[in-house]
Formats: sequence, C-alpha cells, structure tokens
Amino acid sequence: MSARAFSSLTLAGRSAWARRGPLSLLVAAIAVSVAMVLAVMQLRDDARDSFSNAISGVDLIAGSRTSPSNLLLYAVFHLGQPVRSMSYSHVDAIVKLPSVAWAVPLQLGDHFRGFPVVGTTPMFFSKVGGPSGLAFSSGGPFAKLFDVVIGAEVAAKSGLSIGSSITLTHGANDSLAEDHSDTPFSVTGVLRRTGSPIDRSVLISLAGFEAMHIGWEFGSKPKQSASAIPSDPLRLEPSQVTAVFIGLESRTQIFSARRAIESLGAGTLMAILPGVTLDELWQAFGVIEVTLSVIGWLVLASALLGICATLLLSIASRRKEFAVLRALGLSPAGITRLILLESLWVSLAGIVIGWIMLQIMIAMLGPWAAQEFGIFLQLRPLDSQGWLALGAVLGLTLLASLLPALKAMRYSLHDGLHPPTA
Amino acid sequence: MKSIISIENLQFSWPHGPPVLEIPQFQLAQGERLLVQGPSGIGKTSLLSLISGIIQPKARSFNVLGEDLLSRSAAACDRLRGAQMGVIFQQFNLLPYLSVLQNVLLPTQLFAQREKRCIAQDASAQAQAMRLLEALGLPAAIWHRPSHRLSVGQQQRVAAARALIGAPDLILADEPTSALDEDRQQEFMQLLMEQVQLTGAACIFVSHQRALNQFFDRAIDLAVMNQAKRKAA
Repeated sequence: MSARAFSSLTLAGRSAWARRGPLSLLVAAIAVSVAMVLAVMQLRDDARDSFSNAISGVDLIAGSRTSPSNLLLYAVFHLGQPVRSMSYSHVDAIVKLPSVAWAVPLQLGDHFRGFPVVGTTPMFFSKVGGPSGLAFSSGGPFAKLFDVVIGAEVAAKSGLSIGSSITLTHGANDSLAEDHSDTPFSVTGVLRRTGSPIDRSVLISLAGFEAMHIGWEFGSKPKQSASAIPSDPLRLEPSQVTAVFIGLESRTQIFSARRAIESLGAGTLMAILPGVTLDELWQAFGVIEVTLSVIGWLVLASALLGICATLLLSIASRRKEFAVLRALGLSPAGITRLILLESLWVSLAGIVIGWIMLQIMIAMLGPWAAQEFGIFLQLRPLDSQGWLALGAVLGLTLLASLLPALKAMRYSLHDGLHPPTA
Repeated sequence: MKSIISIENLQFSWPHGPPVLEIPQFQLAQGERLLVQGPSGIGKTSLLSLISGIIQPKARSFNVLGEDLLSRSAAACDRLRGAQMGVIFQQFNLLPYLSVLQNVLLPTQLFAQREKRCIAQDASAQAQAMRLLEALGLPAAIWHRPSHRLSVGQQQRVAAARALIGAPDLILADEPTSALDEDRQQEFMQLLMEQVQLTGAACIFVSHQRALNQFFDRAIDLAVMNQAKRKAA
C-alpha cells in the first residue's frame, strides 16, 4: 500500500467537492432513478398487502353477475363501476346453504366526506380482516339504528371520536350530492388501522342504511322529514344489497359452494374467489409494474452514461492534478482508485438522497394513493429486494466509471513528470 | 563521499521514438546540489522522470537512494519517490481544491516515513509545515487560503515547502523559477537553497537559466553529457 487509505478518501472527497456543480447533477440523476426503482417496488408490495388484507378471512364474494374483477374492485375496494344490487332474499338463501359458515351482506353507495359508507351487519367486525376479526381502538360495533363505526383513516382525517354526530351524504362523492341531514349518526366505535380499504370506511348497520333512505326512493331528499321510521329496527330489512362476503365451513367445499350460490339466482348471481380474482388483477397490473421498472432503470442508465461522459471530460482537464499526485508518490493504480472512490461517493449520495426522496413522496402522496387507488403506502425499511437494487446501482456506477478511470491511468503513465501546461 | 545516485550506460527513448537520452555515467553525492542545464528538448525533464522512478529506465545500472530501480516494481519506485523525494514543477504544483497548509501536509499524510521525520524534528507535521512556510516567507494569513488564490510566486514557495517537508533525501526541481520574474527568481532560490542546506538533502535542479549557478555545488550541461543528441545532430 503506497498511499494511506485515509488520505485517498479525503483527497477524493475534496477533489469532488471542488467540482460539486456538475457532480451534484449526476447525484440528482441517480437519486431520481433510485427513487423511481424503489417506488415501483414499494407500490407493488404495498398494493399487494393492502389488497390481500382487505379480503383476508373471506372465502367467497357473491353479487349480481358482472365481471369478477369489477365485483371485487367495487365491493371490496370501492373502486370502479357500481355493480347492480342483488335481492336480499338471496342472502337468506345463501346463509341457509350447509357449506356456508357465515355471510355478511354489504350495502354501498353513500359517502361521508369522500369516504365510502358501508351498510353491513355486526358480524363484519368478527369475520372480516383475518381469524380474530377487526380490532377497535375505541368503542365497539354499532348497536342502535343510527350508530356508526369509522375506520382509522376516517378518524384521523375527520378528527371524529366516540359520541361525535355525523351526517352522511347521499350517492356518489360530488358537489351536487345531498346530505342525509335529517338522520344524523353517532360514532360508537373507531377501528384500529389495518392497512386496507376498511381504514377508509364508514360502517353502519343495514337497518340504519335503510332507515336513512326512507322517502329517498326517487334519489333526492324527501319533502317531509323522515317521520315514517318505524321504532322496531328489525322491520327495516333491506330489499336489496350490493354484495355478500361469505365464509365457508371448510375451504375444500369452495367450488361446490360457489356452484350452489350461483344456481340460487338462476344466472343472475355470481360468486368469486377473491384471492383468484386478485391474482388475475395482478397479471393485468404486471405490465404497468414492468413498464415503470423499465423506466426507472432507463433513467438510471442515462445517469450512468452521464457519469461516464462527465468523468471522461473531467479526466482530460485533471491531467495536471494527476501529474502532481504522481509526483507525490501516488501510483497509477492509486489515481484509478481516486476516480472510482469519487464515483462511489456520487453513487452513495445519489442512493441516500433517492431513498429520502421516496420517503417524502410516500408521506406526501400516501393519502392520495389510498383514496384514489386503495393502496396504503407505508414508511418502512428496505427489504432484501430493495437492498439488491441499491447494490446494483452502486455496482453499475462503478462499472460506468471504469473507462474514465483507465483513461486517467493511461494519462498518468504517459505524462511522466511533465504535466501538460495548457 | 557516498553517492546517492549512480547511473551507468543509461539509454532512453519514448516508445517508437528516436533516442532521447544516452548517458554513459551520472553520479550524485549525498547532499550535493547539482544544476542540470541545457536547451529545451534536450531531455532534462526525461532525466528527472527517470531518476524519480516515474518512467522505467534502461541502463547497465541505475541506483537511486540505495535502490536498484532496474529491478524494482513500478509501485516500489512510486513509494520511493513519495517517501524520499520532493518534486517541484515549473508551475501548477498545487492541488487547487486544498488549502496552502493542506497542500504542504500531503506528503506526510501519504507516507508515514515523512510524517515520522517531521515528528522527530518539529514534534508534528503541522509544526514543520508552518516552520517551512514561515521560513519561505509565506505569512500565516494565507496558510488557510485555497491554493488557487495565490500568486505564482507564492505557489512556487508552497510547492517548495511541500517538497521539503519530512526531510526527503533528494529534491528534484524542473525549472522551478522560470514562471517567476527575475527579482523573484533570486529571492526564491535564496530561500529554497537555505532550507535545502538545512535539511541536508541532495538536489537536482533542471534549468536553462545560467544565472542560477551560484546556488549549486556543480553544474552540468546535458547537451554535452547526452550523446543521443550529438548523434542526432
């Protein structure tokens, strides 16, 4: 070892700092591509997690005949086109099937400040979201007609807590929608965060859903106040629901149960296996995922070409510097090492900044991604795949600087003690 | 007196080029101060490059500072130069991104041997750097300035301090004064040679300027010594 390692590091650092203008642009280019590549990975993983969290515990989803992905997207993620409702009599028939352990009907269509309102039964809390059901951070399930349970995200955004009174909005989330102002609901429970669309849901009983729509048969607010609400909530059974989440006695019966459900409706009903439909959706999204990944790596490739070009140009103007270092006893290999070290710094800075950019992006765009796409982005440490990608960035940067480094070595061998005086 | 450079039958040419140097005999004694003169293009810089081990020589024997450069690896030659030689160029000696003091301290940071000698002489490398800068007439006010903001004359003195730090056995200088005006040349040589004498280093100066003779023990004319050029002419 001719030169002590510490000085090589310091020298490379100081030399790079003196050329920080062009180098910082390279750092930025690497940072952007790193952020892009990591973002695609994170998006894919988080989308997978949030989607499968939402259907965990559910074996089948039944609804009116439509495309399987449409039923899944609308019933579970409140995305895409509304599906036609199914008759409530079919729910009764499904519950009576021997292979069905439980069935939770869902009624969708209304909103609260942009969050979807879900009319359902208390069983929703014990069956959906995994074997132990959903946990409450405060309060409990709805018991009375105008009780409401809100998801963690709703609670965080609206600032509501137990006992708050809220008014739901009829129909889709737009400015012309009318409020159900004559039937206010009161919050009885706040759910713990699940990382699924449930966090963004406002849950009420089917009877409550029915009650607030009395007199709304024509789609707008009734002229008289809703005095017609019967005192006995049991009589408020809905005639229709949007979909039914179903749990089976045994998963081995899944295909026979599906056939049994579909035969109930004489061709108007369908039952989907949510896991299978989700996989089909992933295949469609796979193209987008690959495209985004490719863009990320292309940005990186152009950044690497930029490094190569910038270093090659700078090598010619640094011949004097190299001659001085040679005179001070640095070997040609030592000079090569200086250049590689510089690329290492540039690359590391780019990687760190890119990762920070990603965290800021997640923090800023997370709520929007959850609202628009049902994807719950999380701040979290890198997984092995992320580390692998960063390692690849580092390796490729060093590879890109190999050519300039070799050129510098050739110069330093050729120039001898005579630095060019240009 | 013991000789620290001893060369016999040196022949040198750049790849695919005509012979540049053919020197039958070259000696330098310990502590000797030698001026190598001659017109430009005669091979003065090449001779320094060979002695400093930056380029590999062809010769019957080529001993520098007790090392046989013919049998040493290029890396070993680089180490020898860094640890035991100080080099001054005509100009552009300094790394522009380092301060004056950082430039002077570089050899001691790169080679432990240079640092050890500083510690033995002045307690620390920093202390010796400051002593040399002061002795060469560079005020403390500029020690922490970026070196590219100095005048050429100041830069040459910083380069001299860097060549001298850690008391190397051999100082090599390639036209160190030709970028300076005449008044500055004498002043620079005066200060530099005082310090060279103090460290007891041998030195080889290459210059085409005749006015420098007074500072040296011996002067040779490379145009006379180099037989390659005579043959070519």
